[in-house]
Amino acid sequence: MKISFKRRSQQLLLPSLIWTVAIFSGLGITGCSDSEVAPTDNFVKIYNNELFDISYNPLDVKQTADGTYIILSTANETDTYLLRVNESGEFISDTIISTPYTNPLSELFLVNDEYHFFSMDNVTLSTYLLKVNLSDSNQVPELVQSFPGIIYPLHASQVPDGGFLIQSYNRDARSTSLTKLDAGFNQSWQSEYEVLEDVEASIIAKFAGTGERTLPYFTGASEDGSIYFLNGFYNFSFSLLFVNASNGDLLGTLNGLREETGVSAAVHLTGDQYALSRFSFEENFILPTGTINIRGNEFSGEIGGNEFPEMLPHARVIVKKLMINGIDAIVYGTETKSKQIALYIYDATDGSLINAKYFGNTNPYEFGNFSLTDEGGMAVIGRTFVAGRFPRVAFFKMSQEEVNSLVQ
Amino acid sequence: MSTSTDRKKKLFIHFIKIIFTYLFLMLLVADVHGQEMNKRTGLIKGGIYSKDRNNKRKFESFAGDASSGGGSTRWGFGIKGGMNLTQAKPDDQFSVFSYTIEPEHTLAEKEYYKSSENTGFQVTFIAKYTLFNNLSVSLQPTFASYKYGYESNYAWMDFENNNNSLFLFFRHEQTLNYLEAPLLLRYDILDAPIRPFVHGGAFYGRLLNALKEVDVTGQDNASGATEEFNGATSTLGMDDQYVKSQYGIIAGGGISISLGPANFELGVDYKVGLNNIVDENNRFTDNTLISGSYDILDNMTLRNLSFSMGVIFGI
Repeated sequence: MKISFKRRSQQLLLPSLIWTVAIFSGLGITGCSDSEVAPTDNFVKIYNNELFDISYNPLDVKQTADGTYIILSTANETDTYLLRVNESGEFISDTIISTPYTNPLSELFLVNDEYHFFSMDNVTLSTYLLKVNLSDSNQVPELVQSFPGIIYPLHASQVPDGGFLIQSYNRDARSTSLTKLDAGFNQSWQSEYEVLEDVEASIIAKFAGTGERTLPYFTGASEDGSIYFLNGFYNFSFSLLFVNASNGDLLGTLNGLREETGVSAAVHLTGDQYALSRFSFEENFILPTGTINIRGNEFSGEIGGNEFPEMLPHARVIVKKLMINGIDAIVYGTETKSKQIALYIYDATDGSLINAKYFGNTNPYEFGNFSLTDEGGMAVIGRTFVAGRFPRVAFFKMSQEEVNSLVQ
Repeated sequence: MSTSTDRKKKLFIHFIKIIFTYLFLMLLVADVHGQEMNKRTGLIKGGIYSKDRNNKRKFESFAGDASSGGGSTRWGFGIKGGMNLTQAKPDDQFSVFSYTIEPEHTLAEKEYYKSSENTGFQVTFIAKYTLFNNLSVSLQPTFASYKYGYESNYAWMDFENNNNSLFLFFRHEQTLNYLEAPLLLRYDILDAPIRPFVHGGAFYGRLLNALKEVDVTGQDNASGATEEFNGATSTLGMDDQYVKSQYGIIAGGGISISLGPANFELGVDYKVGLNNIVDENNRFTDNTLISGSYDILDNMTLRNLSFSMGVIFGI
């Protein structure tokens, strides 16, 4: 006789319950829950298109108040290119601004909650200030101001009083020029530093993107804003000049040797201490805490530093002092001989190397810039050659956890 | 290196713990069930006593339950193996590329291969306990190797000179090796030497390793002549790109054939993964993967159809 269905069901009930509990408690014990990560925390994006003969070279990336990003770049070496992407790095819109606003300078500046940048007139070689129009879906920037007296603009930076420095080249006087603008973009003063020879060919090479290298023109200010510095041609050589912030008077120099030796990046730390990188022919050196006599007349080749053989000869270098996870850090962004983007992170208090981070592999990557994001992450941009040949903007977004891990 | 070894050792210990937990629970169930049966019917080796309508005790043999090994036993152990077909089911798709101009010749999203193109294999150890004549439970620790693949194609064109163009075709094949512990409830439909059966349950899998093979081919028209090329095939370790656990439900059936002390079985199982197997934390951490083959993984679950044959012996 067969056991009745009812009886079988009763006999089955207990084991079934135990098995069910066992299965699901087993799943719980072994921790197979999904890891949830917001797509805005970290990502890598390459802004590609099918155009065969266009190239991009990004200069700066900034996060806007709504969490999206603006990337300032050149297109085809001279045109100004603005790219806007969303919080996850997905493309929103872009525009190529051709004549007359060509050769955008160095970085985006936040003024009254709006991003601005400088560019050059392709015919008159004078300087423009443009404002990124975030409300315009076509990203066409607005002209804010013209500076007809600033020719061949090479670099711009914002200083502690909210004003701006613009380095330029005066081809008539054969001198490097530094112009101080106040926070309202009115000219405070302009100073000339004699080169004593015609270096216009080198200047043009920078704008045209020709030649073997781009010289590291830059400007900056001390923490308290009392000293300004500029890196450019002076007295037959590519030199770092320290000037009085109130009138531009030359205080001291860190001389280069023609175009072969000089400083490639600098940021003021405290007192006479600067974080620098320098080049000597094809070698690169990093001085995370170098003491500089800003009122002296010294040779940049004698200030020492740690040689970084992995850095590309004549590498683009940007150094910033950042607060990361409560630590005063000095972050160098640059590029390596193996065509990777590299970040070197130092402790600003003792100059010790904390970490190094590399981006890119297999296909070439070139360094553009980096900036911290609102949530404590970091945006790093550069240029990659997709399929080894198509220059495109690459965007690496690191989460706060990743950035914090750089200083641990 | 030592970290990797330690991690594998920990994983192994972890898995052994899971197996022993399940076995313990299985024995517990068997014991509880056995006591219940003894209490109600009186169990002796080879069968049970039950009462007929006239209240007479009657012996019911397990001999007819060949699924337990062809004899009058409750436990059966065996092994089976075979091939499987996997279909990846992407939930959210991701790409390294974001297009500034809508592409015309590029596949903007990955194109996943059909399951018939994704052939893997599995080897399973079977531990089975018979609850009733036709009903049994089994734990089936399995080494399963799943494969799935997809294509991504890219194009660059000179629209002023049509002779200038480059096409790249990437074929990505992923191999995922899991150690799984499916737990199944089985019902044998007939009491006969040749019996169809159905079963269903849940499975838990622990990722052992993951590999990816990328094959690049292309057509380069930029030199004025068409050049077809085959790039190198590269193999990448992908362990960090996947979460370590996969779980889901499983259903299947087959035919069991009793031959002496053994049961030979042919079966088909369909598994439905319930969790995203991709580690979202690590999606953008592999430089080689992203920069070299421009590839990142989509969030996905796996569906798997497996065919197997094997043998079970009663003990």
